[in-house]
Amino acid sequence: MEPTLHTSGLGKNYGDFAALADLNLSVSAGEVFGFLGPNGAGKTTAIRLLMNEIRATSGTASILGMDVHRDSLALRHRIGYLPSELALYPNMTGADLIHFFANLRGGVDARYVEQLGERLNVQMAKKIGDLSSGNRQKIGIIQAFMNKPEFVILDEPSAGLDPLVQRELQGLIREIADAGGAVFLSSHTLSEVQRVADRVGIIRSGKLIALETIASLRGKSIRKIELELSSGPEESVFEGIAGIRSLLIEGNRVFISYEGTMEKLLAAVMSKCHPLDISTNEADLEEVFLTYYHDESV
Amino acid sequence: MYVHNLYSRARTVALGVMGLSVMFAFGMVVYRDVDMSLFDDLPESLMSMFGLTPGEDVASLAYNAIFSTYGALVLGGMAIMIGVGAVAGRERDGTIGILLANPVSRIRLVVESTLALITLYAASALVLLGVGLLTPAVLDVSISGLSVWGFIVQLVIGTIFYGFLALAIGARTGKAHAAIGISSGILILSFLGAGVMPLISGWEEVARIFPWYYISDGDPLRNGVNVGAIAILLGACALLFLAALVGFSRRDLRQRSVNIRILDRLRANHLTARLGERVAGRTLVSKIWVKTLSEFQTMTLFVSFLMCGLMGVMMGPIYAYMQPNMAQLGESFPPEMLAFFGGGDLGTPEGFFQLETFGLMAPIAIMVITISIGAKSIAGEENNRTLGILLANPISRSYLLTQKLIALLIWGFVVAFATFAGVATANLISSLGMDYLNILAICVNLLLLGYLFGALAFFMGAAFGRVGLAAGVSAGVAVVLQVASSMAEISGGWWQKFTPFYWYNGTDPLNNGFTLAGIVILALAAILVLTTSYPAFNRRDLTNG
Repeated sequence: MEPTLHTSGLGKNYGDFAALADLNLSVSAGEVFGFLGPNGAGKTTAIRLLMNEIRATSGTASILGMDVHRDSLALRHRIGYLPSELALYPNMTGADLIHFFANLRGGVDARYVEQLGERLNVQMAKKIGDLSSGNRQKIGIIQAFMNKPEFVILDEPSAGLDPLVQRELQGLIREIADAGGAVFLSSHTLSEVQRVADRVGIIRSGKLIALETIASLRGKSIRKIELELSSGPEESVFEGIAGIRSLLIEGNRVFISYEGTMEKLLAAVMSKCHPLDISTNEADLEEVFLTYYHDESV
Repeated sequence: MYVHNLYSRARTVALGVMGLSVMFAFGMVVYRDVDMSLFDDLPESLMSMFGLTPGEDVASLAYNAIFSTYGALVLGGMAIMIGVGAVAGRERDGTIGILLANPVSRIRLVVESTLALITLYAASALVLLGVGLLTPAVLDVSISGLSVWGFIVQLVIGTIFYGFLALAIGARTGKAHAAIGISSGILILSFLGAGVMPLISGWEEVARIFPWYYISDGDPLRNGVNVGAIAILLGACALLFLAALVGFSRRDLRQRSVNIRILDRLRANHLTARLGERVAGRTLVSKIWVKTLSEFQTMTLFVSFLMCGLMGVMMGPIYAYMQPNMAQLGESFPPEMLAFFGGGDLGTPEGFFQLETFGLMAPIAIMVITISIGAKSIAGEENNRTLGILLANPISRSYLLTQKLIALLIWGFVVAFATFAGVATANLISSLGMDYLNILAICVNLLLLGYLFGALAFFMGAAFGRVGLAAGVSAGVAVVLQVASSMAEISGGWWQKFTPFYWYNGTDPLNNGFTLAGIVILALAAILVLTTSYPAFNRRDLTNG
């Protein structure tokens, strides 16, 4: 099946400066793709290329089988877009803005817009300039989803949103993917992407440096594990288990830093000891990301 | 903060003062070659209209014509912008909260902003004084018996008053738009009031209620500084400064604010909600061109009202009242001087309207509208960072351009039509006997002139995405071409027919009616510039705000 988003060698130069270089990506139908990178990495440049706001220096990109530049107009009927640092018309009310954009789209399902407003708890009658940034963001989210798009591009969508609304947004994102659409979610914070994305790409200094599923990233992460055993174990019990980064035994308590899936570790422990209790923190992807973000040569 | 205030405004003030200096030098060059004995025959009422006094000489003509009118308007306008920027402008931009989060008291904010305004105007006074003394020395024009020093001091203090006015209104209300609107309204009103009242017998003293009166009260150019006038102006400034301090200290700060229009209040009230919704709500967002019209409606209707009422209808009775003096005047008024104000034979109603309404005011009025809309059409959306989300909708860039263009064409037409309606009404009620077709002819030319410079701003905005650049270049080109056109009028320069202003009123349409060549040239030029906007916008990358 043809991917929903496909880019091939996509690049954008400003003079000698490569804001984006040789981006090769595919996002399939039903997938939520997280696009991660530190500030200024080139995420927004990539999105502006996809939206035909700027033109590629090299390479091509297509969405839903249509070229983002040549077929831009037809394409925009079928996609939704929420820009970063959203700016709207301050003198319009939320309702006016939605009507304005709906008119430009040749009309949208008014009942669906109403539902979106209720789910996000939006103040539609107030002037946008009088809204808090979070409430303004909600209006932006409605306009991105109101045409029931097959592909949605969201650039830092959680900015200013409270946790309840963030969860509602994640619901909206999942619904698009579950209905066979795809979502391109750009962010510089992992927690936003981790909960909802199937796969992530990490970009730094204009270059894609990693492309992984969330599951495999979790496999790469380091867990801190604490075991309470019936009696103090010998160190030899843990010898030969790949992935143990550090080990500390205090009486019948064992503290382990462990990288990899839990299967091997648990098998080894169960075969040689009698565990009374086991506690582990959530896989800390943050550390993995920090190593990617960190300014090293790639 | 004082330094920050100073730096952020210095460039604007420097540009304004430089422009005035150049105009002054140019004016003096032109007037030097004019036979001044002609002025001896001028009726007093007419002279006072130009701010002239009997026994005028080259030097005082230049000082009065350039500094007292253009100069005072420019200085007053800049003072208003600086005064508003001190408090209300920062509230509009949303920067006041973070500024006052520093250990800076509100009083200090007002005091240091005011000090910056005073410093800038003191510096401007010094520069203008230098230019005012140096130019006649270089051109070998005598200024004996003139107090340039007193004249400039009174001018600068008389115009800084409007800065204090804007400061006080802005500091008390926190509304930048209101402060700009009210202050410039008072400036224009007092400019007209102080000029017209002395002409009406029995009403001369009423002129004293207008602050503008004190700029030239006591003829400071001849008699030196008028201490009484200075005391009144400084006293008024001090009171406004106190009002700003008290008003700002006592109120809540505003968030980044939005305009609440009357229509918004109608919509909010449940009794009038349906009416309000019809006028202000969904209809206005049905199409991009309708929304653009609504964004410029207040400004356009204000300018149209000004052109129709003040510069149109009211000019009829004023001319009728002054006609006995005008007729006397005959041909004696030097055309060289009139050329600078747009030309025209003052002995006839056609010449009077050519000079008063169509010379400078009408082109300025229509260009304010067309250049504003043109410059903001694309670049405004880009600078406000709304263009990206607007173009995320399924509309092409060309469609957006055309929609914005429709609004420009409609509002330009409204200003030109209001001018026509005003002058035609004046013609009717005061029985001036001008040909209506000829009035229509000059208004059609006016419309095309407005379209041409609007088109230039439209192109610049579409091609480069910066409002300031688009508006500045268009207005700058207009001023240069207007000056070039009036210079050609005086010296018969070969370049005359290359300036659009020649095709606007150089063929004297009020007397000669339509000139096909003029219409074709102006229209073709506008169409050419507009057409170029499309590829320019379609091919480029959007800027990111």
